[in-house]
Amino acid sequence: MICTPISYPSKTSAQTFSNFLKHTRTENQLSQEDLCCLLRQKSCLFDSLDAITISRWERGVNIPSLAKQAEIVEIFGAELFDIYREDKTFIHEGLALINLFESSIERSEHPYYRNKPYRVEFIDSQDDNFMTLLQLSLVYESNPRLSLANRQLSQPFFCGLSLVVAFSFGEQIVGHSLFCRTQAKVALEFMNDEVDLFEVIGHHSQSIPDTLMVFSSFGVTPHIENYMMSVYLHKMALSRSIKYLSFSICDETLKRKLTQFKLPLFKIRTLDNYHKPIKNYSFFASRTEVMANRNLLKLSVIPSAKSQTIDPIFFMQLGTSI
Amino acid sequence: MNILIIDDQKFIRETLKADIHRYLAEDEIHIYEASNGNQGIELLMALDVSLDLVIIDLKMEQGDGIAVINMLATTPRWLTVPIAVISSSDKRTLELVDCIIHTLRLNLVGVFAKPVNASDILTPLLATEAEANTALDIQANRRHRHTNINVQQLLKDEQLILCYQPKINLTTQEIMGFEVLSRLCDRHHGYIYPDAFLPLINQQGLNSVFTRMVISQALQCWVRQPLLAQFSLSINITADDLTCDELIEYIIESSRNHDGVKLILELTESQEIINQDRVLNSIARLIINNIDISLDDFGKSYSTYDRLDAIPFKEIKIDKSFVSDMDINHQHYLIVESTIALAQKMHVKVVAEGVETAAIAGILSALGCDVAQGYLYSPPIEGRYLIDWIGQYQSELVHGQ
Repeated sequence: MICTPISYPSKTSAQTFSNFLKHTRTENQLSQEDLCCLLRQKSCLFDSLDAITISRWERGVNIPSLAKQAEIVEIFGAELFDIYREDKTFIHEGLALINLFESSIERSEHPYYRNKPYRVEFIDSQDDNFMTLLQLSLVYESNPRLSLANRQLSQPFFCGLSLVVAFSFGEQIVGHSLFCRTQAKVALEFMNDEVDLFEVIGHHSQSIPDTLMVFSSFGVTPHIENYMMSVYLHKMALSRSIKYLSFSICDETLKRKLTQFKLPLFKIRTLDNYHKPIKNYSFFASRTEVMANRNLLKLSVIPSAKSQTIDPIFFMQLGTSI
Repeated sequence: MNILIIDDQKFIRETLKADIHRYLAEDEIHIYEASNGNQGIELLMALDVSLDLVIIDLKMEQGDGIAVINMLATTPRWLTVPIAVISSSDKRTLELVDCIIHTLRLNLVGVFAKPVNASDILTPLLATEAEANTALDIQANRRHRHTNINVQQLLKDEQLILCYQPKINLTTQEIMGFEVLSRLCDRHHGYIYPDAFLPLINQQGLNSVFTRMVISQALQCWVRQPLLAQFSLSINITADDLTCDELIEYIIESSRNHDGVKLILELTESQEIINQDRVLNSIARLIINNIDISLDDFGKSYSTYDRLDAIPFKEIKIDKSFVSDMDINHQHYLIVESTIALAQKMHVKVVAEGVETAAIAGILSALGCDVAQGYLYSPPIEGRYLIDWIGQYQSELVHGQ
């Protein structure tokens, strides 16, 4: 069987991988034949690979799926994220996605906000406003596991929890995300309701955290929603020690979005929210699953700073020009 | 709007009625009442209007709530009527009833612990009505998306990537082997999972081609790494696969060519009627050739005991839906407990799938379960990370972590 992977419809995406392959091959002084042998030797995914296919990949006639690209890129010590974040065209595609990816379910427009520029800030747990902003962000979150109301907690408890907030004109909150780094084992115990939020963020193990866990992620428009997602995806991509991305959420909109992105649902549990049953959704994906997912990869390459201003109108123009 | 309330306490019926009238102020509302299950059933049989909601109490003399639910499930005209169950029973019973109604595929609004406000029931009911149209769209969309996957092309392009999930000995914590889990990769979205592509593969009659590819890639992986030879390699197989003589021949041949690899085939449940003789024939040939057969997803299908009787399985795997919540779901605990006991009496190895927390592993170990598999040990691992994972796991084991 000859390996003839499907080509991507868009030329720009093919370029990133083609360039990487050409560059790596010349740098390591390999012929196409050598590279072919190397891949066949290093991985069982390329058993029937031939030099003609390599030549096609390099010319961008067709290229392998992202999952297979990941396998090749990692043989040379890099990751998909490393090569795609270097590619300006791909970053532009990501920016365009933030703008263009409208959820298929109609959402009523926010009454007080219309695509005005917004400011995104990482709120440190030491920040004077941390508690207020945290409470405000969670006002509409019906997840009983995030309920902080009946606990007298001081700020040091929240050290380790990352809160990112989007403000529009007049300091109005228009989006937020809440996440932390933890151990996969602790994340699984949280998903199974065996430990609570504070045990997750206060868990100090000697091992390096290997999981990024998201508790809440929201934006009043699809634009902000996507941007808030890109913040933690970028964080995850930047640190190689993070092997898993997990979500534990009750927000139906976010659940729908993750399902649309083709992340498999890990588990559904029914929780008791003041005597009303509410569904709690968990997602648990490996680093490769995240990076080999086109949409998630696109969002992850968008750089984010501690504090920055985003102009959706500028994004939209970018989107249409591509 | 027509609503039927079945509850033996007049007080509850009156409160609910008042609540409903308040909540649905402008609608024309007819409320029917029954003071026990039998009366409710009679009323349901005689009623010539359609109902928008049936509220059922569980514990009643002269016909309980379950009797009413069973009646609804066996009467075609009531199959889709929205049901709300109200009860003062404990949480587990409510969960059980929730589960029963779901299995019966009835239209459940929810199971509510008393005291109940009518708004608790009506809010989700009205929300579902409003969502019904969108939901249909989503369903159509999803169906469309699934048929969009061109499995034939993906297989032709060798877009198959295998992941491996470890099986751990509960007593020694040592790695016993790995189960192969397959993924297809498409150009738009990354991984596609078996629940999405297996039905398509079966539909298009590609299952033996697919199983062949899986076996070939998995064996390749094992042969390349001498370290893996000490671990068994479990591959899923369907009863349908077992009717394909060519495939059986291929498996036996491959196994002979890879002498050092301990191959286990996990027979998954399938609903299709199978040529029993042919399947048994294939299984006999596999066993003679030193390939073990494992019974997968034990307990999920009604035919399980039948097969257990006919086929000399080396191992049974308890389905993860029973294992993952056995610490809080007593029913599930009992099922797992008796399955382990059964396996021990039959001298069959038992593997629990879906082990996610140390608490569950502890319970299983106390029950005498041999082997565990699940996210507690590791999510499915991509082939290229397998050796690293084994190294890390074994070093943690030595250092008593």
